[in-house]
Amino acid sequence: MSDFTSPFWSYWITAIAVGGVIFCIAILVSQMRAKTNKPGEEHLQPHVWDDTLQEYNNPMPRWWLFMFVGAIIFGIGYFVAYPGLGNYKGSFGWTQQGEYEQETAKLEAQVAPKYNQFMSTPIEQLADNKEAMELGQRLFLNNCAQCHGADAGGSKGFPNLTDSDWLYGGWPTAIEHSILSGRNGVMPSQADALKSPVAINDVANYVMSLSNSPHDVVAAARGKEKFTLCASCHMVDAKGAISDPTGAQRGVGAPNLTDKTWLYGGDIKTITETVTKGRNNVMPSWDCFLGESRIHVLAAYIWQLNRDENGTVLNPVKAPDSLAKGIAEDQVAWDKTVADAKAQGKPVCSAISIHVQNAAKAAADAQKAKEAAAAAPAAGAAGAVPDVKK
Amino acid sequence: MRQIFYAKVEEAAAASSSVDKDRREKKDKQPQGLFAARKKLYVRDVKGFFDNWRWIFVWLTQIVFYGLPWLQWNGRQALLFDLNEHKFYIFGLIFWPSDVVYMTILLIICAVALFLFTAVAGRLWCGYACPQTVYTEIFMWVESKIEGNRVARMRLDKAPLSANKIMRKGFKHFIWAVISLWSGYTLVAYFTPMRELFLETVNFTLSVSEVFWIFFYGFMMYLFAGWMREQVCKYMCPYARFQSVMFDADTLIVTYDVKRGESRGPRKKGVDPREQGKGDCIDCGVCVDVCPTGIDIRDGLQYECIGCGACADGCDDIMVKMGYPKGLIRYDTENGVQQNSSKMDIMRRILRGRVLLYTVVLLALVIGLAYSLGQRSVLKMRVERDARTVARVVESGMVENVYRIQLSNADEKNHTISVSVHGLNGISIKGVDKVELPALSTQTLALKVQVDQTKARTAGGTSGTNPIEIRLSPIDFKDDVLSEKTIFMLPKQD
Repeated sequence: MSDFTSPFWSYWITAIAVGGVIFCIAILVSQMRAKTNKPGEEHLQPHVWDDTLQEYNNPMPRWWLFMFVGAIIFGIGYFVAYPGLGNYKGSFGWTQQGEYEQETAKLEAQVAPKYNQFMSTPIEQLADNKEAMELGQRLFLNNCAQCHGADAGGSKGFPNLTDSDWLYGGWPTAIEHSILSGRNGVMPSQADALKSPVAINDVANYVMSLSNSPHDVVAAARGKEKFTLCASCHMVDAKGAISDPTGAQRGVGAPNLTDKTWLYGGDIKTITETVTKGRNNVMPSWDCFLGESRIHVLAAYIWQLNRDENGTVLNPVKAPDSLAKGIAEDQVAWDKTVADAKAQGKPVCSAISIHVQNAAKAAADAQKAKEAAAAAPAAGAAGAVPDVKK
Repeated sequence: MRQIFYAKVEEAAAASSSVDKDRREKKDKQPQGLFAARKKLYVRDVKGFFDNWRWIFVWLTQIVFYGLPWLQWNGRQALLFDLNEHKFYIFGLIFWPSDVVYMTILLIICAVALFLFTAVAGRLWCGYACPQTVYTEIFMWVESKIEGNRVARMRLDKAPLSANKIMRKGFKHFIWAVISLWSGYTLVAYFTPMRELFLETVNFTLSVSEVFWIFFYGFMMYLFAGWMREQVCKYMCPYARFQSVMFDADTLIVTYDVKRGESRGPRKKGVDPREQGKGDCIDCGVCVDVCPTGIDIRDGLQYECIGCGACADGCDDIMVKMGYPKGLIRYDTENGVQQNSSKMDIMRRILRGRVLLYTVVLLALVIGLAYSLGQRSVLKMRVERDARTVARVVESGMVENVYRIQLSNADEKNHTISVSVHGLNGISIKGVDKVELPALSTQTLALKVQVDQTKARTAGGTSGTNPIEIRLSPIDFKDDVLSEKTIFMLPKQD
């Protein structure tokens, strides 16, 4: 506290506080010796109510006086020990912030053994731990359900986490990484590239045809040629960035367009809007808020949500081999980012956001370069977000 | 009332001897400060009708207080306030934080009961049931057993230090300390089960807060009942300050019959006092000696009087010895004393407006509380619509809304319950609709509710909000079905 606009206010508050104590002492001393009557006088108080009603002086017990003295001593002690006198910090150095941090540290120390045990368990094993899953559910409801829904089923613009359709990968480390460092899925507007509403309508119809949704066959045939523009992110077969066998596009997050799962809606109107205006999706980084051990539990909870009727988890246990090389490269890039952040004296979680911004910027730059080259699919590595191995 | 009292005092003063008057005036005219040292009271032991009643209450309240933590129920302590688990166990009832309303009602019942008793017969609570009175009574009994009667105690205090004095005083304080600590221990046993507390004690694993409360409560009892006594009632107690507001002219209070007693003075036994121009009061001072707050009831009603009736007991003794009728100091009403009412009249006037009102309110509250507790379901449900997922259209083309349902089982048995939805045509739950609820637990369920759009709209479903009801029915035991109203959103149609 004590962020005063000028030193005057510090003195002002100090004067009021100390003056209050001195005033109390003065009153007390004067009243200790006071007598309510002179010898020979009755100790009836001079005031009269209702014509006849008068008060006797019934003295207070002396221990009451000691309580006043004790209260004053306590007050002085308080001013010495705690910050109450303007800028004075108090001999304990107590602050609200400090107390909060102490309490938090105490709580963390209390739960640390549990979390350490969870942290050292691989996610696919943690999914069978009832206690961890109850904890995961509570963490999810408190932190994730606002966007993804209480059942993790998602809503318009927010992915469904209970199905087999993953933008960045459904294996444990990918989920953990999505929560830890966040994701930024950018679909740029294609209006300039496609130039005409007719062309946009063609592409939209082609996209509809990919998932056997109702569409105009002629327009879709025209749109197929123009789809090369989209293929750099969504792949030629439109199976989404994650399906890239080279693993180069694994961090772009472009959705699979051949299934019936839609982030914003699969009707012609919505798809036209998406192609025209583009989309910008942000999953924030949770590292600063939750820390990696809670995120580990959360990732396990989310990983096991997708089950069949027999209760078998349908999500993959590890990344496809084709991505192994890329993920290893990401790890190197990631380590460098962390090292840079530490060198700048910034917390790692801010490094994550820097990293994500860099990756997003790189992706946008690659997109611009592609537009400059106009069409012709370039398999350039867009800025990839790493898969951090924990 | 005060004026009547002053008139009485003047009348009494005028009638009393001039020696008395001089003494009082002298005392009045000594210079006096705003604070004065406490004069230690040596309260004379008294036996009698009201004292017996007080001892009955001492036994009742203390058997309850010391005994309750030893009772067991369902394999746990019958009465337990578990602060860590946030649950209060009272025999078969278990209260959760959400049941705080019952505690509120209970406190209101206590307050109304206090109003009622006070309106009928003054400070009954203070005189007979208040812990301060009860423990003071116990402590004074210990004191008189060890140090002797009033005179002996005064003598012992004045006497120089001796082995006997150290022995007696030391023993007295030791017994007081034992009673106090055991009370503190018992108090803590309401929050930590007695058995656990005992094990913790013998293993020296008591927590800091447990030790603190045992000693804090114990020390306070030792201080209040041993050392401060009447000071607590006179200067600290908030009840005492406002109970007089509930008095009226028909409230039974401990009263000195001025008309019959004055003028007071010593006399020989067997002589008719009226011939000497005297009343029935022989000015023996017993009523002052037995008073735990050290007042003279013959000055009229004073705020210090806790209505304990000790002076009435003491005076009745003397009256019997003198051969006069009992009741010079007795429970009577202001109107009763003035109008020489018969007992019947006084009793009849007890049933007056305010008493009847208090009684009706008290009965209504007690019956209401009992009924409400009887109707209480052991299951609780809270429904929250998921704010973000307004209405999602799933792959099958159904419209889905998500609800977050918090289910609590406040019973000591595990229960299985099923959830169902009603209110729209073709509405159904997707996925889990049966829940196992372990005893004393809370669970959150993410409930997916689906409806076929066309079906729903043909039967009155509209775009936007539709009222629906989520019902909870226990499968494995008989209990009322709980239901919560909420809304189901249908998307706009193009």
